Amino acid sequence: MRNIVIVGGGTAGWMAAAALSKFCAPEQYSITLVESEAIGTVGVGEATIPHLRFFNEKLGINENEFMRVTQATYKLGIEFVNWGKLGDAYIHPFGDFGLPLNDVEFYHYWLMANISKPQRPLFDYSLAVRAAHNGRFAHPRETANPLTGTYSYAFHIDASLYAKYLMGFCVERGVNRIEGKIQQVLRDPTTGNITALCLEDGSQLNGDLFIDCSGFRSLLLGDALGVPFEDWRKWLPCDRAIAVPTVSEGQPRPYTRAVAHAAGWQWQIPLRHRDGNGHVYASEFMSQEDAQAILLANLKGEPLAKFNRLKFVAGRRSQTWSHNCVAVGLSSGFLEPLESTSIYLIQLAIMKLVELLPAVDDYTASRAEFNRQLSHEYERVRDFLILHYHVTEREDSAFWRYCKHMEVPSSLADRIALFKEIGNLDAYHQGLFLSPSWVAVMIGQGCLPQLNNVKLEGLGMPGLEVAMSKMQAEVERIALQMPSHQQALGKVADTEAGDWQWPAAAMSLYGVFS
Amino acid sequence: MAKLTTDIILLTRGAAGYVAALSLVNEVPHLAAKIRIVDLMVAPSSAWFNLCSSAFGFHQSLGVAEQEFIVATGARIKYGTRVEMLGKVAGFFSDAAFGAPLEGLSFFQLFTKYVQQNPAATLRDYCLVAQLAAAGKCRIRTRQPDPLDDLINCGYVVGDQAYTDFLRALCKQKNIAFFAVKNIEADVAGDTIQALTCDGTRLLGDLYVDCSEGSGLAAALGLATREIFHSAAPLRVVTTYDVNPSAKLENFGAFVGLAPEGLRYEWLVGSGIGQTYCLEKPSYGGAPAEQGEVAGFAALDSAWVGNCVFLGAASATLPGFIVDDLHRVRSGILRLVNCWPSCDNLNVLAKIFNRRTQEELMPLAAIDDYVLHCAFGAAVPLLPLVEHKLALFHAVGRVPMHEAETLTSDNWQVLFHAFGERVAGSDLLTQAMSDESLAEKFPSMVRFFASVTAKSPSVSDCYSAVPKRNG
Repeated sequence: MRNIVIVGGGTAGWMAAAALSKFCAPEQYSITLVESEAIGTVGVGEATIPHLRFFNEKLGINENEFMRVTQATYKLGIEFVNWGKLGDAYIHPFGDFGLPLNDVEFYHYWLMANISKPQRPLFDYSLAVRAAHNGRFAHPRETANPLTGTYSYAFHIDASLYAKYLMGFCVERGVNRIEGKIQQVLRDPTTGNITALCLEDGSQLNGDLFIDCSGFRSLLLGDALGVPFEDWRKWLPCDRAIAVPTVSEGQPRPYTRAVAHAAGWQWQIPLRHRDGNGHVYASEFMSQEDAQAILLANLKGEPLAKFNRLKFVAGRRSQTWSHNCVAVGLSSGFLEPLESTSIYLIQLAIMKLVELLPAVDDYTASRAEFNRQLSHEYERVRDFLILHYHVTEREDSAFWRYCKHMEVPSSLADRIALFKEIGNLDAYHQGLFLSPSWVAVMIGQGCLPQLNNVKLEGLGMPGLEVAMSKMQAEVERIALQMPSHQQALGKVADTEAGDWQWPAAAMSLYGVFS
Repeated sequence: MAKLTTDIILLTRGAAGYVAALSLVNEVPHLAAKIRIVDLMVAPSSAWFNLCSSAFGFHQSLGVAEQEFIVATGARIKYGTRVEMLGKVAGFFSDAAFGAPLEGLSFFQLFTKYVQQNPAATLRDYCLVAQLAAAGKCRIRTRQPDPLDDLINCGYVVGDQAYTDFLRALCKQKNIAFFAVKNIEADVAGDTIQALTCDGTRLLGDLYVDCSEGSGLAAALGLATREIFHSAAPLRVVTTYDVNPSAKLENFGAFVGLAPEGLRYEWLVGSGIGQTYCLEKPSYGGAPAEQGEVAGFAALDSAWVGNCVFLGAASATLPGFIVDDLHRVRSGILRLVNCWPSCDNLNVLAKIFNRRTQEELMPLAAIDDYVLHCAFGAAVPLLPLVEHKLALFHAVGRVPMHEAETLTSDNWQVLFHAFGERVAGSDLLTQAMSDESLAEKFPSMVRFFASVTAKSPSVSDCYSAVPKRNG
């Protein structure tokens, strides 16, 4: 019998416990989660990305039930306001733009037409964007019309309710929950492995594998094992957040909003029972008082609780798995929730652990691969977040001047340069954000190349404009045929009408059928 | 404003340059008029190409079905490589489909678990082309789609001259200019080629693409090379043609044999071909030592310098057990199009192109390194990339993949299985799969492949049914 001990009972802890209890044979593994009600959880990420559907599907969770329990609304993307310049807005959708023509991505055609003469926004060719703007939602479908499958969807959820729901799931599957605070971590003097946790009540919890979900404290990976933290504040200077829930105002939007302010940005996340709000800012450029005043001035509804103030540092531990300890969630690193990646990074770590945990106690190969993949993902998400701050015309505050002119990682600098030069993306296949996402932010924030794609040279403009116009009309037609977001939520809530059938999940931001 | 059109001079010695030109025109049709192929092939070649399976897709993109390609060139299908270790059959490598996924798990994950309870199960029972090869059967794909086509993936063995003629004819159809020359001389200033003098004629281009190993262009530019993988003793390559085919080839198309003396690699064409890689006993396999040459497997530090791009064998020489040089030419062209030098900031483009070239090259080198390591042990140490792949395979039956790898994780699985590597235990996801599901699905897969094999024509019937080339 192998003992797996999970430290911390927030979203990360219960997600890890749920996955391990699902996939570890009970006759071979025992799973214990230790948490303390005296220690609050950060409750990361109320906005999610489509991959969470895949996670839930693997656990066998009914999507409608999940939505009811977590007070969820649908999410088709994120609206970024005031990022490229003041007054600008665009939606980064969970989906692609238009349809490829002759194996060339649609955005190249749009760029070519736009160089010739200004066109309607590229975002008008995204079904997810048009549905979002029209307050509509329907599940993506595989039909004769390929446009209906060009997007995916996620949820706005109450993460604390999700953790509670998963706790029930875990307890049913035999996860042992212990209430207690950790006082000491015992290590094997020879191997350095963690052998046991001493709790405040004097009890000792032995384990073979430890999952550190202790949040920013990183009790095991950071404190006990001393894995160093890599500070990325020079690229992502925001290091504070103030969060507050408010009374819902009006119909919930099927998208998250991220409104840029003078030294950071504000999130607005519509749930069924309330709205989530928060102001992420850089303390070097803004005081707490000013940040709070800005948040208060921009709240739509009445606050439902006191302001919750958080401190963090962007970065990650140099290893996510060290010795016999795997860190999941904030204990392994932190990237601000601008693209709703917090729960995704938790999910990724758990899924990789499930894929790589060997049947024997020699973790060497699995650990190396786990760290390689997590490191890769963290760096690519980091680059994508930096892009939002760096590709901007804004110079109206010290914060934006810094972001615009800072030296970015060479991996990102090369990517931006290639796009600026010839409109191409240095495409990768292993990473969360693929070409459509990079195109959305680059073009959404005004980074337009000066040259056409070489493949399109010689293409006749009149024919292209007609084809683009038809495609846009079709996108609009399909979007307007969808039920309203409110009607869609009504179908989820109506337990007597039977399940509103959802499509199978995929590990893709860009389409359930991709 | 930088210009979009570019005059391209493709330097080649036979097929590679034509492959590059056709791939480029596939991607960017209007460039056909801008390309000139300079072919240094001065005499008809009696060598043979051992094409990997990506050639099928390439030919299709040119509008040529498999059957038409075979008619035009006399090529023969290569279903895979039969692997033998110290006289004992170890396995079979092919990049065709194996088995079928089940409940979101790959076939190989499932096989890892299934074989633990059914030690007699062998991987090749779950691969249609392995069954076909073992039974002396064959299926040639025509323009008429067949649902079984998805299960077939094969390489080809084709005469160098026949393939070059075939590609040259296609270039002619697309109005791509080409001409044969005997000598070239590069006029170089710094890292830029000013002009290429070919048999006295001065050619000016904006972009020079060298697909020809040993053209001298890299030397003229003073480019540095580096060793790709290390061999303690000189690796001697002996190439012989027109020997009698080895019985060990059976109908698989290719054979890798590991023996105490060294490694023997053969592939079947007409009257037969053999290639032998030896370390200290170059007479292994009966091939005369004097026919051999000391092979250096090296790569250019940068495949794009100034206005010159090196593709395929011109950028790196590899044994190419599984992926051939022409595949690397095609993938290089795709990279080049993505970084097309239509702007003035070539440094950015070249930097990305060079990084991606390395990312493709190292896993390919890793395959060859692994095969040679199996043959020669510590004399050819494993690259860290292979060590990592192998360690994870042993631990949980998974193969980590890196960006821009040509082979898939499944391909690596087949390779490792073919060389007798074993998995210690399956991962949690696979362990959670019920034994009953596997016990039901696995035998049904074997029955399906066996039934298709039984209905397929024999190799001789298959080729004799192919229409003869007209004229």
